[in-house]
Amino acid sequence: MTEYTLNELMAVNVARQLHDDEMGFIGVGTGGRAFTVAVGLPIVAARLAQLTHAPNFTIQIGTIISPDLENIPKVFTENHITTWPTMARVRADDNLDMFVKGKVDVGFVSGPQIDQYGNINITVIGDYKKPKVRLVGCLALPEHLAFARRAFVITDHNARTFVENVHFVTGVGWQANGKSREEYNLPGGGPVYVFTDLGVFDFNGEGHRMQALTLHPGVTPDMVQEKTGFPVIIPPNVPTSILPTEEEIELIRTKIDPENILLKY
Amino acid sequence: MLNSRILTIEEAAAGIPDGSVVTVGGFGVFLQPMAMMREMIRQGKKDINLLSVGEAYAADLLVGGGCVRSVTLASFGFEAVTGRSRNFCKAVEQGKVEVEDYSHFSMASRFLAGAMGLPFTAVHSMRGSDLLDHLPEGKKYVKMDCPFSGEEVILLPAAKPDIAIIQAQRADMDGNLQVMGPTICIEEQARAAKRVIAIVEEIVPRSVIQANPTATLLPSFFVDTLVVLPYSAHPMASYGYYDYDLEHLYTYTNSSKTPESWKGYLDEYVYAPKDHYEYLEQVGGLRKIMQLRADPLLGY
Amino acid sequence: MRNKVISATEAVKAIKSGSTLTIGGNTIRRHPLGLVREIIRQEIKDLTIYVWVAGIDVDLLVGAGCVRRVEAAYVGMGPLGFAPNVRRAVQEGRIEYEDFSETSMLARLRAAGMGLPYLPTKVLLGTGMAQYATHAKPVTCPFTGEQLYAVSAAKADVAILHGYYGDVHGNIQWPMVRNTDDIDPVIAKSADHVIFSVEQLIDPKTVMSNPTMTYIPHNWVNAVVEMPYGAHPGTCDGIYDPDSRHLEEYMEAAKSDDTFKAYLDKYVFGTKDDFEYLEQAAGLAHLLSLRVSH
Repeated sequence: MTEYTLNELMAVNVARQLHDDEMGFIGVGTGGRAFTVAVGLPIVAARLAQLTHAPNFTIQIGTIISPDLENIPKVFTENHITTWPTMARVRADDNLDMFVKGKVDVGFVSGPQIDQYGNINITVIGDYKKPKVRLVGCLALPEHLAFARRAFVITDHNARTFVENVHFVTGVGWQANGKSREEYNLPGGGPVYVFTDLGVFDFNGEGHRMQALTLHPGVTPDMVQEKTGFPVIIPPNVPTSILPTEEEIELIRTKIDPENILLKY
Repeated sequence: MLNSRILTIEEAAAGIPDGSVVTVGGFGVFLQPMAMMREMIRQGKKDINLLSVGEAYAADLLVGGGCVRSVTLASFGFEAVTGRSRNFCKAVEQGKVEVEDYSHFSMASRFLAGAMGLPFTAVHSMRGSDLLDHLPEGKKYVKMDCPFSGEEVILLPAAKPDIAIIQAQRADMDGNLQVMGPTICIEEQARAAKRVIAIVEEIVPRSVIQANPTATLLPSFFVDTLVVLPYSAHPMASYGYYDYDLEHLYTYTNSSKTPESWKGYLDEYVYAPKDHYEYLEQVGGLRKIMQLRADPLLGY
Repeated sequence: MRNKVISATEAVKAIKSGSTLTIGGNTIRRHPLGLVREIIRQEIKDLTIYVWVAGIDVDLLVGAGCVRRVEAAYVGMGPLGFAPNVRRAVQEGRIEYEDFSETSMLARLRAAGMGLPYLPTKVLLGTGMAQYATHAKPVTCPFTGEQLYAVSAAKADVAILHGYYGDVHGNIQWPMVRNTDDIDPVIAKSADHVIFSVEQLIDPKTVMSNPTMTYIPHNWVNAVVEMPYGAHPGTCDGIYDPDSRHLEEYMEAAKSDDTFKAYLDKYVFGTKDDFEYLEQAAGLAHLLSLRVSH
């Protein structure tokens, strides 16, 4: 059996859901674990998809469109990102227009709070007017959930993150403030998958609520429920997540991230 | 060349033995390794024998710092700025340094012969001039008739310095050295030397070198020691990076008028600063350094 | 085309207490921090800040007590995480804050640049932004009947930005490497009065020989100030990297009001101009070590 790390398992599960000819949008992210889930893991998944079943999959990172994934920078400071060989660097405002027009197929998102309907909060913890913790704002998270054809959520599983109702709807999932996604008439596809360290989830549960699609090896329904702040739908006999093949692990370790920069944390 | 050959300027200067035959790159206001000259003076180098073409500022400073026993040169002058290079001229007038004069082309040819690994070169220059009267025939030159055309030529021995000190703009970690703007005799001087110490403004990624390979004057195998030090040609210019510091050049030449004022200059700008960055602070600091930055298109 | 070069002290006098201000750059990149420090020195107060993806610029101003209200898509320190002063000020209710997303804040700044009172957007539908924003109102499209939100123009009295190269007339140029992870042209267009600090003044002839490198033309610009390392301790990518040594000190100082006051006393109030600040905060040798390859 192929040996793999949890990050590699997550990356493989993300990669398998990427389709040929799609364009994925990755933010520029922060540091540490947040960098891995928001930037590193999506880059690895995208490159893995390119090298396996989706040779024409491409990404944009910030305003860099279709960078050379054979030459991923070793450091993600501005100067390394701006000199990364790439097909195009466009103005941020032009780039956002394309996002709104529906030119982003897969939006990779993460966040400190996600609820059972896939609403995501990256803005405040607590009451908006008197927040317990003020976070960074909204960034382009609302755009990911409103305009990307499919939004992929990647985050670690714990009850602080997976809450019954987010404290602030930064990005709209399948139902927000008592109205369904259909009623809001948002053009994008919304959150379709959640990839965590415990499994892969979608929102095809009753009333568009989060349900387990697969659980990672060794993960039980109880473990998932314990780390989820709302009753999570786990179908009986839920299958095991896709396991990495030897080829996929070989690609990640020798070609994609040989110095373990993208999946470090 | 490996990364391990990147040295500090102090380490690189320490590797220049007293009594060495040294050649220094640069010309006019461009690319003279001034920080290295200052460091050599700080380290009290003695009896250096300079093989020069026209690196007036570097030579004048080194002579003024008391490091030089003999100078072989084509010409030293401060050109448009301030005329004669006083420290050098006074040292010759007072018999403190030995001097051997050649024409520019003769010196360039001697370096070219050295660069090609030949023992001598043949020139037309200096025929009939007094220059030859001051050189011992048979030892420093030989007259001969060309075996092909029969015309008279002067044979001069190849110049083979122990060390070439080369100021350049940039190199990669391997030591591929890029020189921009007037390169004069730098290539020949370096190739003629047994050992090359290069001082660069910055180390750039290999891809930058590869994107502009024609700027590589000396491939890495010619470069033995690399020193990375920004603004290390100051008060000279580094084309594409910064201009010469006219204000400081006047300070320099005014200081070289009397022994007292020259001692004051050395104390203030060479001995007092503990390193190159303190020197930069001394000549005007960040404000001055920012003023000297080159226009991105003009290069100066 | 007149000569628009003035000192930072003079330039900042155009910013009045109680006025609205917009700022170029993003996160810890290419903000006009030299001008920001001068705003703090001149003790300009009660500013309302319109920004897109902001960072240390707003954190400095908030930490120095210059700000009454922030309207933004993001204020954070990029890879270093949250903006500590902003976070504390919001949590303690000392400043007002209105959240927008990247495209909705962009729409507000664009509307200002286009001379329009508002632009419509879909991105607020269903979100907390729509719930709390005072500058967003639901509207129905008169053509399709779709539900949208109108977001009002964020028209600032003054814009401050930091550019790479500029000439005396205010033509601002990219260096050789062109990247655009900010919306500086939108910011510059949005305000009544535009002040640019630039890394280096260049000859107008250099500008003319390479006009496609001009991303802000002189007729948008009112004042130009040459401020080398004017984005310090952030990055001016292509010219220098962020000063992580000083940023660490900043993040540590910004942990409390008292320590941040000491930071400001030492580096901003304790220095008469940005050259003094740079000598204090970094020093020549360290600044030169931050330069990136040509």
